[in-house]
Amino acid sequence: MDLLVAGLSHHTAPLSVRERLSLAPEELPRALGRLVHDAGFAEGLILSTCNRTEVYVRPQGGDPLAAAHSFFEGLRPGAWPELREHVFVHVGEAAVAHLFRVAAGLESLVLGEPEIVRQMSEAYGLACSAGTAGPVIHRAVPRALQVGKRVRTETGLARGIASVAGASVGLADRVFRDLSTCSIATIGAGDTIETALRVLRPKAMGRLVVTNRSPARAERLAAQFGGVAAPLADAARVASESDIVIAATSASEPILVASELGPLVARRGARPLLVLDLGVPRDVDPKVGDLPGVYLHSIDDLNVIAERGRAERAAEIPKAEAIVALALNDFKRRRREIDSEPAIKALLDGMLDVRQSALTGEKGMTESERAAAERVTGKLVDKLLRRLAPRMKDGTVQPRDILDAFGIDAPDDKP
Amino acid sequence: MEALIRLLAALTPAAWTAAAAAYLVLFLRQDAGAARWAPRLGWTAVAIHLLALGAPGARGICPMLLPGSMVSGLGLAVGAVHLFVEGRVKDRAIGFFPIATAAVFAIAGASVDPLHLPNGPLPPASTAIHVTGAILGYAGLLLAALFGVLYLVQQNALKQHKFGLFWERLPSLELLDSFSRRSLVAGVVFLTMTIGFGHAVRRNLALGESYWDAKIVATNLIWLLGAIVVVARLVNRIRPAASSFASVGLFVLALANLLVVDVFSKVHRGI
Repeated sequence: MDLLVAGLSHHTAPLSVRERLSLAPEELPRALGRLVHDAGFAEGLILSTCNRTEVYVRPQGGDPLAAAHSFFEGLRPGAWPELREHVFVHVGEAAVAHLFRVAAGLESLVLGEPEIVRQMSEAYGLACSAGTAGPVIHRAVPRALQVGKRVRTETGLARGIASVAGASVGLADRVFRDLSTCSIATIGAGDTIETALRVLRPKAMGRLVVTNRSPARAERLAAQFGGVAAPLADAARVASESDIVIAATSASEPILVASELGPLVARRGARPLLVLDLGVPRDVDPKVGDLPGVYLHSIDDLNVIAERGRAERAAEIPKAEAIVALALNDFKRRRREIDSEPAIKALLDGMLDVRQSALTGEKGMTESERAAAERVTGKLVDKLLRRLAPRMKDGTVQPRDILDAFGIDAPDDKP
Repeated sequence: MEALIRLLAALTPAAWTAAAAAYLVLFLRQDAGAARWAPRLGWTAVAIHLLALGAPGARGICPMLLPGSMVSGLGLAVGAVHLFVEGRVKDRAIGFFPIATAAVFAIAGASVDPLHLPNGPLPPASTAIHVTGAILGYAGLLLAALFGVLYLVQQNALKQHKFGLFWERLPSLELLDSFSRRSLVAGVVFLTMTIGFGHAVRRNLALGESYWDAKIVATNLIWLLGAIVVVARLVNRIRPAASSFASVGLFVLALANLLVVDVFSKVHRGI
C-alpha cells in the first residue's frame, strides 16, 4: 500500500489554527504509538514544526482518510471541528512528492530554510526509535533528506537572507567581526523587542540592557534573556555603550536623538554601532544614521533585504523543482523494481513448476537425454525470464498480466 | 634552462588567473567546491611564481633585479601575504580582489621577456634585498588600499541602505578594517626596513652623500605619511573610514613614486 500524508501547514491554516494541532516534543512518542496502535496504520512518522503538523503513514486496509481524521480528533478532541476543514491529504505519488518538496524547503514559509531538514531527520529518528517506521518510511524519508541536501547544495534556494529576522542578523554580521561578543541594548520591552531578541540574543551573547518606560516589564524581559533593566531616561547612554541597539516602542516621538547620542558616540572610538529601529512611528531620529560609525536601519530596510533575498530564492525554484522531479522519477522506478520482485519470483517458480511437470511426464528418456532436456528447458526459462523481468520492473508490462497469462497466482501485496 | 625559465614565466600568470577565477566563483556563488579549491590554486600559483622568479638565478642573475620580476614580484607579495592572512583569519570571502590584483601584476610582469637583461651592468646583489623590501612594502600599501576600498564600499552600502551584490558577499566592516590596518602596518614596517637598509648600503651603491634624490624624497614622504596614519589609528585619533581613505591615498602616492618618479629620476641618480 502507498504512502499517505495528512496534516495542516501554513498553506492551509492560519497560525491560530496551526498552533492548536502543534505537538510538543514530549507528546510525540505517545502520538506515534497512537498512530500505529490505535489508528491502525502499518507505519507512521509525525513531522511537527511551527509551520506544519503532518503525519506520514502507510495504511493497511479500511478507510485511511477516516483513520487519519480519527487520529487528529483523538489528539485534539475539542478543537477537531475547527481543524477538520484545514487538514489536507495526499496519497501515493502525491504524498511522496509532498515529502520531497517539504525536505527541499519548497513548502516552507521561508523558501529553502534549512531547519526543516534537521526537523525531518529528528522526526525520522524518533519514528525509528519508537518502532513505527517501516519499509515505506525507510525508503521515502532518507531519500527525501538526500533531496533536501542536494537542493541546498546545487541551487541557490537556501542562499542569502530571506526573512526579517535573518536580515537583522545579516546586518549585524556585516558590521561586526565577531557577533558572539556583541552587547545589545533595547529601547522598549514589547513583543517586537522580544521577537528580535529571540533571534539576535543567541548570537550576540555580550551584555544585554533592556530600557523601558515600565520597569517591571523591562526587568521581566531582561531576566528572560539574561540581561539587566535600566530606565528609559538612560536610553542614549546605554545605547552608546552597546554594539547593537534595538528600538521598538509605542512612543509618538523619537526617543534616541542625534543631538544626545552624538557626543556619547564620539567617545566610542573606532567601534561601530548598529541601530535597528523596528518602531512605527520611528523611535530613532533619522539623523542618528548620519553620525560617524553609526549604522541605522529601519523595519523597511529589513523588509527590503528579506524581499530581495526571497526574490533571489524564488528564481531558483525551477532548478529545485527539477531536482525533486528527478528524484521522484528515480524513486518511482526503484519502487516499481521492488514491487515487481515478488511477481518475478512467482513467475520463476511457476515456470520451474511447468518445466518440472513436463520433464516428469516424459518417461522414455535415457539419463543423458534427461540431462540434455533439463539443460535446454533451464536455459529456456532463464531466457524467458531475462526478457520479461526488465519489462516487469520498468512497468512496460504489468506483472499481474504476465502472471495471469501463465496462469500463476499473484503473490500477496507487500509494501 | 632557457626553455624552463620561459615555461615558468608563462605558467605564472596562468596559475594566478586560475586562482582568481576560483575566488571569483567563491565570491559570487559562495560555492563549497570553490572554497576548497581557491586557496589550493592560490598557493600553487605562489609556488610556481617563486620558481619562476628563482629560475634566472640558475644563470647567475639575481632574480629581483630583472625589470619583469620586479613587477610580478609585487603581485607575488600581494597574493602570498593575502593567502597567509586569510588562512589565519579563516575568511576567504574577499580573496578575489587581492588574488586578481596579483594576477594583473603577474600578467604585467610576464609581458617582459624573462631573459631580457637591462642595458649596462646589473646593480650589485645587495640591491636585491633593498628591492625585495620595497616590493613587500608596496604590496602592504596595495593591500591596505584594496581592503580600504572594500571597507568604503561596504560602509557606503550600510550607510546608504544599498543592499546589492556586494553588501551580502563582503565580510564585516570590522574585518575589512582589520585587514586594511594590518596591511598598512606591514607596508610601513617593510618600508622602514627598506629605507634603513638603503641608507646603510648607499656607499656601496655609489649614490654619493646627497639625500636630494627624487626617489628618496618621495619614498620617505610616503613612509612618513604611512607612519602618521598607523600611529593615528593606534591612538584612536582617526576613524576606520578616514584610515581607509588615507590608505587609498598612500597607494596612489606609492604608484606615482613607482611610475612617475622612477621614470624621471631613473631609479636613484647614479644607479
